[in-house]
Amino acid sequence: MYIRPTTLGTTNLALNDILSSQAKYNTLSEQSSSGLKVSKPSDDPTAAKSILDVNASISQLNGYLDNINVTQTELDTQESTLSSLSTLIQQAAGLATQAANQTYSLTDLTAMKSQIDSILNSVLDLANTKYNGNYIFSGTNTSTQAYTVDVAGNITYNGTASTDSYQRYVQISDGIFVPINATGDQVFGSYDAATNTGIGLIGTLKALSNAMGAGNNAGISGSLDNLSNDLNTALFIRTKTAAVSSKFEMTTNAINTTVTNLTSYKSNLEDIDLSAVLAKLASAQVAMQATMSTASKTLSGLSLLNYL
Amino acid sequence: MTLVSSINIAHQALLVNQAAITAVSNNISNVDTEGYSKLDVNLASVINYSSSAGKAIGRANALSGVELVNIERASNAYLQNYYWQENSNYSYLDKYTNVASNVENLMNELKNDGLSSAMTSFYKAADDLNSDPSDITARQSYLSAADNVCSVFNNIATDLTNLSQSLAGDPNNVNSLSSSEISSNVDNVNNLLDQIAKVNYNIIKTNSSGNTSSALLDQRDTLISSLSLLMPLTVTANSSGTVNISLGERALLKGSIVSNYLEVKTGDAITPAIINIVGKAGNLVASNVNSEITAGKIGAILDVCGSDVTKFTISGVLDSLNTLASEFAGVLNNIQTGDPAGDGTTGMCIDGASKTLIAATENIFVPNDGSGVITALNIGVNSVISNDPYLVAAARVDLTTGVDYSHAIGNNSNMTLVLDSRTTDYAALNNTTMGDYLSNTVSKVGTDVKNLNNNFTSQDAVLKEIKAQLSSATGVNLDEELVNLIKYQRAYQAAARVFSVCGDLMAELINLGK
Repeated sequence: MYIRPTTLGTTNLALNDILSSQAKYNTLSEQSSSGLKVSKPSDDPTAAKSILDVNASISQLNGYLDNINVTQTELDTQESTLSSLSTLIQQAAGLATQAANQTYSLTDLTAMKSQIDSILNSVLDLANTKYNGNYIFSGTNTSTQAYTVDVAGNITYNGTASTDSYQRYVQISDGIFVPINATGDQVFGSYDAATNTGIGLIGTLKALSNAMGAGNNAGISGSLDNLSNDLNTALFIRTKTAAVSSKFEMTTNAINTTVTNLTSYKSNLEDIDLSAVLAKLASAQVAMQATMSTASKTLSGLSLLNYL
Repeated sequence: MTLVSSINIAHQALLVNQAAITAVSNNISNVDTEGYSKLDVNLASVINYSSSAGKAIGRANALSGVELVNIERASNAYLQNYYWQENSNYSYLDKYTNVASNVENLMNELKNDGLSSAMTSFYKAADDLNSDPSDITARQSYLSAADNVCSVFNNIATDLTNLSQSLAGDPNNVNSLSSSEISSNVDNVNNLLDQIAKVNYNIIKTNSSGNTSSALLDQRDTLISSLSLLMPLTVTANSSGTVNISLGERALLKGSIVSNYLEVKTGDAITPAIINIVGKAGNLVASNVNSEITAGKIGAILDVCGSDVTKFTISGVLDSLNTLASEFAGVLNNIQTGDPAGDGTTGMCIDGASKTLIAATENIFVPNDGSGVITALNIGVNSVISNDPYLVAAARVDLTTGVDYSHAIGNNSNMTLVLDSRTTDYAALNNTTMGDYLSNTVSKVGTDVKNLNNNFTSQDAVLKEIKAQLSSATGVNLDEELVNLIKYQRAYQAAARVFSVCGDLMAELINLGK
């Protein structure tokens, strides 16, 4: 359709052309300077949603990694404590074997008994190991010393019992919470001075010490079996700890892979292809210059006035 | 035929061409005036029929030169009406898009200071507290992260509410209406109606005295264009040259008389502003004509501040935020003091003095304006808890078993529930997680703004096209005017020449008679 051009109309048209080519140029220049093609949700609502979801996932996964890192140190402490414990049990078993297989005077046995007592003290020290200010073998009573010895000689476990809810959990992935602690009574047992009975490693060591003090050979050899059971218990708990550690390691690897994938996915969604944008920017610049030069010719050059 | 009549004809031609040059000059001087309609000069030859016909001399006698029929203002009523109509639609989308972009900016979650990053920090703090539940520092940072979530909710909600109130007033405060945009726009409408009525009156006056009123018509059309920016109009022309204006079927202006005005009143939360039609004396003619104001700036404000679920509204976005805030607070409060799993366990906090576990009774989140319902605007952290971070229930135990858990301050079972809430789907959030609900809301705003932008761009193109057509029909082309100028100049020169030739002939005649 033929449109009769008017002076004001032509001016407005030229102005609109300049403005719209400038707007195009500005959009591209904003993209190239920010490096983002989606800077507000309306730029690409679908991508915006994905970016938000990916951001949430990445920060969640990084949170799991933090959890694993923090907890790993506690697990390492627990594992090295259990490893020291095994050494102590083996030392006690060595002494007991020695005492059971040879004939020793009561004086020698008393000397051995004091060695066992010192092993027992070391065991109690291990049982009261703290990590980050918390007793690791107290169950959830983390501020309560796991084992105390009173004047009567009772060795009491003060933590939450392995029969009650004692576990502390750490989240290592969506909906997966891993228990990370073992209770003291599982590993170390306890001792009641009034009835002279004990359970677990403490009970065994106490009985061994008493048998050595009394020169009771049968008692000494009897404790050998118990010590070997206690060693198994310590190894079992240590294996469980190691299993959690290796689970952590696998999860860490999996999370790292996922984070890498998500990051590159996010980059695809929101980052510009710099070379493409720069090329477009250059062509937009040319277009803008062309529009401006056309406009200046239309507005000033082409008028009948120039020929009158 | 007489020489005198030739002189008269030439004289007439001089006058007519002068008048034509005046019209051209007027066109040239208004070449850059928006809304100016060019003047067309209509000339006709004059034939004097009373002279005796038939003879050649007689025929010559019948010629009486040129006359100026009129100086006509170029106009196209169809295009002009079409322009006003699309101008209303353009202005509607312009305002709507503008407000929607504003809303989008207010909750641009792609920036790093939004709600999703506040929630992320909150769950990060929950993770840290889960690792060391008896640690006072972890508790403090958990609470300050919760407080941060609340302030982000509060800020966005306040900004959105302020935006809505600056447009359509606060439904709870009648006085706020007078400073709102809708109120000043309604005042503008009434003002423009008055002005158009006055121009219409002047048009009647000048028409009756026989003068051309093209400047008045231009002025009136410009005023109607301003009015069409504010509301949809129906404009009908009268024979007197005046126009009537109505909103749909409701007459507002008849010729030089404004029959009805608009009035805006404070409504309720669903419709914050109500437009009524009132008579000159302030008597109510029609109440609530909101549904008829479908275009113009006023239409956009009514729609964006309204509650139509099929449209993008500020209240719709606020509702989503309120749902999220109330669900977030509700879920965490239930974990703190309730029994979300229904297994008879109790959330336990720490007695700061004795460092023993006690049952938690204080909620984490409370409405900070004392009202009963938690919204995005009033969500806050319970000051009792923020003053004593030990009151955060990180532990959860079964008190019915009789086991003494009073020292189990390392228990973090309740924090695992808090952490689980991040990945749980909630019915109140359309069976999505809190994070998904938020990103869906943001994406919905983005989609709406994108659609509005697209609509605006195409409406902009439509309006430009009509403007070009209208300008083509009524605008001034400088080259055309220059051509006309030369044309009339030459004609004037030629007429002057005729005049001098006749003068010479007359002198010859007089000499002849000596």
